[in-house]
Amino acid sequence: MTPVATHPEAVPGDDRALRWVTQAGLFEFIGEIAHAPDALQALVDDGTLVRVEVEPAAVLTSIGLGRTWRDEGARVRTAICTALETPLMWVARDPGELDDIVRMAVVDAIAGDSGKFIRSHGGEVELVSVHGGDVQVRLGGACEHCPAFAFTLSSRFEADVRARCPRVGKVKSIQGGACDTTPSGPKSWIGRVTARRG
Amino acid sequence: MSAVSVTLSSRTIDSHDAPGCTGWTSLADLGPGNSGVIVDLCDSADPATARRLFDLGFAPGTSIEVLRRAPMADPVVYRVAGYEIALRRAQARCIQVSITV
Amino acid sequence: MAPPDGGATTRGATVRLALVGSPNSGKTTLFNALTGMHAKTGNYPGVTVARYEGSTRVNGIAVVVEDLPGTYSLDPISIDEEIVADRLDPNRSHESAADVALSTAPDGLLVTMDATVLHRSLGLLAQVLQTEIPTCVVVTFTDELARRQGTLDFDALRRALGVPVVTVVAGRNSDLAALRGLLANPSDWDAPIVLPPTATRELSAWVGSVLAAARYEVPQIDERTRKVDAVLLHPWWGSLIFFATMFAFFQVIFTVAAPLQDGIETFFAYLGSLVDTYVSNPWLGSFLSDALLGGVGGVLVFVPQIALLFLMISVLEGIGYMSRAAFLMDKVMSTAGLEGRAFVALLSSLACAIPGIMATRTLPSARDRLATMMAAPLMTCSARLPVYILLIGLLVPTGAGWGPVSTQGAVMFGLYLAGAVAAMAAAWIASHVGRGAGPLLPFYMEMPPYRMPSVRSVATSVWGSCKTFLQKIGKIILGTTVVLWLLLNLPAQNDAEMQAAGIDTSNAAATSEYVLNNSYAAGVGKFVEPVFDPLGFDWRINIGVVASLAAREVFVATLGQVAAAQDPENPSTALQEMTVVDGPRASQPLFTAPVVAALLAFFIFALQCVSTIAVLRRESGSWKWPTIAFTSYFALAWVAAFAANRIVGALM
Repeated sequence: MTPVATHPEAVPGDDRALRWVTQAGLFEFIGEIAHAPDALQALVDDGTLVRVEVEPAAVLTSIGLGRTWRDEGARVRTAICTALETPLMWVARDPGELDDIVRMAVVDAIAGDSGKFIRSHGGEVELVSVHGGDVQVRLGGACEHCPAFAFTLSSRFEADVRARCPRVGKVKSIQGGACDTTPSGPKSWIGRVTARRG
Repeated sequence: MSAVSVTLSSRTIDSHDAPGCTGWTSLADLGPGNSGVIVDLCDSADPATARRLFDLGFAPGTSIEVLRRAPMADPVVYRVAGYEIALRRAQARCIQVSITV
Repeated sequence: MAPPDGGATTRGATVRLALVGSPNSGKTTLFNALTGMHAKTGNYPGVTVARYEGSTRVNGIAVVVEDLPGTYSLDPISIDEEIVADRLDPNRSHESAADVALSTAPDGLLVTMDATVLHRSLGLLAQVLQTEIPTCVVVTFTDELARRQGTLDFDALRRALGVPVVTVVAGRNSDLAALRGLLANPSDWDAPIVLPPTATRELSAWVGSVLAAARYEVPQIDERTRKVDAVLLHPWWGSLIFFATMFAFFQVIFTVAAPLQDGIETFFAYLGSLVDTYVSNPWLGSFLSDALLGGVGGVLVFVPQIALLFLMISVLEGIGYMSRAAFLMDKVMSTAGLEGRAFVALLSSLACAIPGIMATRTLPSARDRLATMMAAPLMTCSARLPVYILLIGLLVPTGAGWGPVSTQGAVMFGLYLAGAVAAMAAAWIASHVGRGAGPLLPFYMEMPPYRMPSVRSVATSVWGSCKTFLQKIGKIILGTTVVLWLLLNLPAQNDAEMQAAGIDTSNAAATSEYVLNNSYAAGVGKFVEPVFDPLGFDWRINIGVVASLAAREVFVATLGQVAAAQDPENPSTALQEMTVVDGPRASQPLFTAPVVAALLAFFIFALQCVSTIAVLRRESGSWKWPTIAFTSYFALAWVAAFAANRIVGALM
């Protein structure tokens, strides 16, 4: 079987942690796991890994006390790659709900590139609510005075959220009207951000 | 040889499982205009050649397109991993491809 | 991650960096931009691969940058690639620490990655990161990426890789500033926490993941290249354009170089006349003008051709056409056991075998390099031209021909053809006999997009080749000219001796003929008579043949001296009327048709050129191959000359 594509990224401020970035939507939950497929579980059991946390598009791990990434990195990678091939065998500690995942995806998107883009043009975006997979955000600042701009922005923002969580429902802006987009809506022609399919 | 080279020279090439693939053909038998997905590199004959082809971007799972032939049918230019490269028939024979329509 | 004390301060504040990257990734352009044209050139110890090192200063710290040979992988299949892999081995120890710089790994690596070929480039980067030497990625050709509507998030790429990432567009100095700021402190560069995988399947997964994180897309192919290739690589049009280009290549070398060469010759003739005017001692005067000036002039006269040749080669290479030419010629070359790229080296040998042999460095296979080097001297080089022109003039009357085709031209073409066929045969033999010279390499050749070559790279290439020629080969040519002059003019005869022998000392022609006939060179000429007698040569022709070892044109000059000695006013008539002095053919014309045919056949094959022998020695690493070449081509030339003599004699 082809291994699931993944690569590690450093976690700013914590050099014992490593974020294994992978495709979005593999898991139906987020947060710490209770049990992982054997290859990965073995590493938790022998103390190599002290934390394995699922995120919308990554797996966050921390190396155990007395171990170094330098020594264990290759083993961890192989174990994670193998484990990612069977996402359904990952058991969450607290299964949580779709809304929790969507919320985390929106928070990520606000902190991430499309949020930065909005803020760099003098606008603001904040999460209002997540319910049943549908998201409501408020676009403020410069966005208020530019309906067309807000439309394409929200479509780019929505694509960012969807990239982190393909099961998100509708993303609406509270200003209403022009910013109403649906999952099958048009993609932005400004950014060439591609939505990853889960 | 350097330590890194020693590690690299003991690599083997694993084949790619293409879902729904109906049959494999050798790249040498594909004419210009055809495209496909690389399935395997035969490393039995010459493992060094197979590893070199891999390092050139002919990796199992990558898509490949046959572009044009030289006069007298050899070598042939292929498009793989985002660039164009010419191979002789002898090397193209090592590459197994599943044709995409 | 970074040691408390940067490596720079412990080694006397010089930072050593190395540039790594695949061919065509803009590495050398970056090297030239960082270090200017002050690159020191030399070779890596024990091999014939050129080494380029340059220096620059950043914030007062000296930074030395080494431009490593282009490589596709640290799993090497050629000497060039082995050098790169060895150079990056942090645990090396070397027997001879002659060059301290070479015995330790660089402080930092700059890895160039072509933005339009990121997928393949990441494979090499993953291997380089295994060396754990501080690495900085330089993404090149981002302008081409933009032109093809491609996207790449550099910040995301940096996070995904864990190393610094800078972008540079060739020729833009503003980009360099960001890179230069990093150069002084490689130990401060970020490094990946976990190294990328080396196993093939995991590597493919890693590359895919990194490219997805960096939102890498190149939706459009390079239209310009695709359209141009549709013509240039078309089986019919492409081949036609190829031959036209090669023809133009030659026309330029000969017709553009000719006035420059004439200019050099005129200048040296002028200097010669100055010597005549101001130097009273005739012996010293002759030494200065014939030996020294003649020697130096004889070296400099090659420079326009070499410069033009390397100018065109590096422009065609820089544009990307060379790989197309090699692609078209590969099948033909493979019949001789060579590959398409050998075509360029053999083609260059039509101007002069020396740059042609130097051009074999572009061949990755040691076996191909050797076979091509052995074949190069058989290609009809431009030094043979004066010899051919002289001899054809003696053999065939000027006006003869059928309609527009002149017989002289046809004979010349036949001589070129004979040289080419012989070269291909020699290559075939060398590549099959020399099987022990290296493994059979798989053939592959990247077809890079068409690009504008940077003026600086072209200039560096031209300057580098001229410099090598002048420094290494020039000395040999000069030395041999001086030795030859001494052989031809010693022992010096004083007036008393000459008068005693019945020579009129006021007759300049008579005295020089006497000196020549009694010179050491004449002794040599007579000594080798038994070898050349069956070919119909007399000792005067023998002097010419021996002298032409220095350079083939010397044959013409020597015969010219002999002829001028007899009839200073009309040396060419003198040649035709020259008669055999003694022996069975005494008083018969010397330059009969069989003799001229034999001389022509001799010069087609014989390796009459010490400079070529010297370059063969340098490039092949030992005396074995030049010796084999010299002796076997001499034998071949002798047999051919013998056959020509007998056959033409029978036809008369």
